[in-house]
Amino acid sequence: MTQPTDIDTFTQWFDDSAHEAHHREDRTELPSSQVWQLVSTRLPQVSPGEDDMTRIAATNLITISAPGITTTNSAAPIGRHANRPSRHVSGWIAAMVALMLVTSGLYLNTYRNGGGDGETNLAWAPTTVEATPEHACNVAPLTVDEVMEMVLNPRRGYERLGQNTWPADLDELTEFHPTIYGPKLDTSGYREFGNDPALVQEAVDAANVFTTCLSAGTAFQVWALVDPAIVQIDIISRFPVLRTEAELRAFVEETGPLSYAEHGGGYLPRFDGEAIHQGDGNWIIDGPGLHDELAIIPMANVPFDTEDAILNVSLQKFPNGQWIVTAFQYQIPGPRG
Amino acid sequence: MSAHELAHDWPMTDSELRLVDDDLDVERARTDPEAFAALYQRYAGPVYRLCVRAVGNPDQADDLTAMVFLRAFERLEKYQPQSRGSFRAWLFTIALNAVKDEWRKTNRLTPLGDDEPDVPDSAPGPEELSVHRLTVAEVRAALTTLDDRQRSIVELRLSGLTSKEIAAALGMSLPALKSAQTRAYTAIRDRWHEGGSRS
Repeated sequence: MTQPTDIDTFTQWFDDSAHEAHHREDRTELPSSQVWQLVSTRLPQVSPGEDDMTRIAATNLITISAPGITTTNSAAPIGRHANRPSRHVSGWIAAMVALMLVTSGLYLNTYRNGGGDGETNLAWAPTTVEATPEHACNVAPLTVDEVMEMVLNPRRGYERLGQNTWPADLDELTEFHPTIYGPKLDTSGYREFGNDPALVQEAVDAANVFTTCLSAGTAFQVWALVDPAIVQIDIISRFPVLRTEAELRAFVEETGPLSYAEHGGGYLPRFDGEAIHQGDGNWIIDGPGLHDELAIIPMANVPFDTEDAILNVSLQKFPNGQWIVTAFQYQIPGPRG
Repeated sequence: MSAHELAHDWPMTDSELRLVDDDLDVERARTDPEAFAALYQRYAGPVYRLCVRAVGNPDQADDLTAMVFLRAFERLEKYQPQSRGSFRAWLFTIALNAVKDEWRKTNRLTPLGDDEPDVPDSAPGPEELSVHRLTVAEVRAALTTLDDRQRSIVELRLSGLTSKEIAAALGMSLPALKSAQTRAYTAIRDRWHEGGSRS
């Protein structure tokens, strides 16, 4: 069979086929009519510019979580007609309930811990490492200028960490780039992680510091612990595509000194809880060659939007000796090999 | 593009008229939430389809769609018609941000150790292109082979944005966009061929 080589033809065919597939297949073209009912119910209770989804959720929960979810008279301007209650819309509301509880300072103990399940191609580290129980973030905070440097160009952040190479994508980086996700750093210069107990301990300690600071630190402290490209994303993703440097700086100045747990949520997970759980050896160590990450460590108390997966935090040791969080990964639980 | 700018460029195309409609509806919606329905009606379908491709589940896509429109309404004050970009590009930037966590779930660790997302068993040849009918699941599987930037480009294309809008939304120059777009579709095609050769 002759394979297609004309990329323009393939592009057009792929696009047309995708549209046709949505048109042909049930429930893939239009949202349920309940979506508009949910949206329209909430609109009158929030003003444009009230940039706080938590407040929206809390304001509307009383109305929407009542039995018989379709309490609005608004006609759906578009959508499938649902013949049954949408359990997922209800689930979303449940998530908002959880969000409200957390932001009220209540500790949620009902979410499951990051379990001990993993994949056979990853090495399981020894279980003798103790967790660090302190629940205070003692990390030196970044300054506004340091953060803005990374927002404008993550390369400056990498250089601060002693890293003078960066992902190829960053070469195309324009200012305020909104879409650098999941940076893939060159790990060729790093030490083999293996089962070196000292490095294992370092990684786990760093993960503990990070999770502690997520729940007990300021944004300036949290940003000091994560990949510069993630810092950029975490800040820029709070804004629409149109924003100015002055707007970003104002945001950094205002938000940086505040609690990340209360004012975060741009990219990093909202994390309410304790340091990494070590009890079952439920953290995994990987080396260069299998994945980009040097350490992949499940977070003990997963955020509430990851009920079906374990959220892992991945760390790398940079040339200046500092462990930096480079990614979050969702792992579907499976049998341990 | 503002109505004022367009006033110098008659006759307007359908696309330009839509941009004016969007901006007028945004202006109305800022003071009258009911006016937001027009924007929802215009874009709920494309946003929902983006979400379906992200999560693969209609119920979850409903949730994401609701979240996208609530976020858009919440941030309506920040949208500036007179600046570069369009409401549509602005809305889909919000939508992309909302679905990217879902992409990561699919791309990075679902499941761990399996780097081969499902792709069609065989690649369509030129003679098959006209008869092969893709499923939404196949489209989704093909998109999971891309990195986030490439996937953003393809998703925005499928959502109906022009190259200029996509470039503005992603902060890229038009030549860089064209180049990245070609790489994205080439990756899909080549991955498809690899799938075919494996089978």
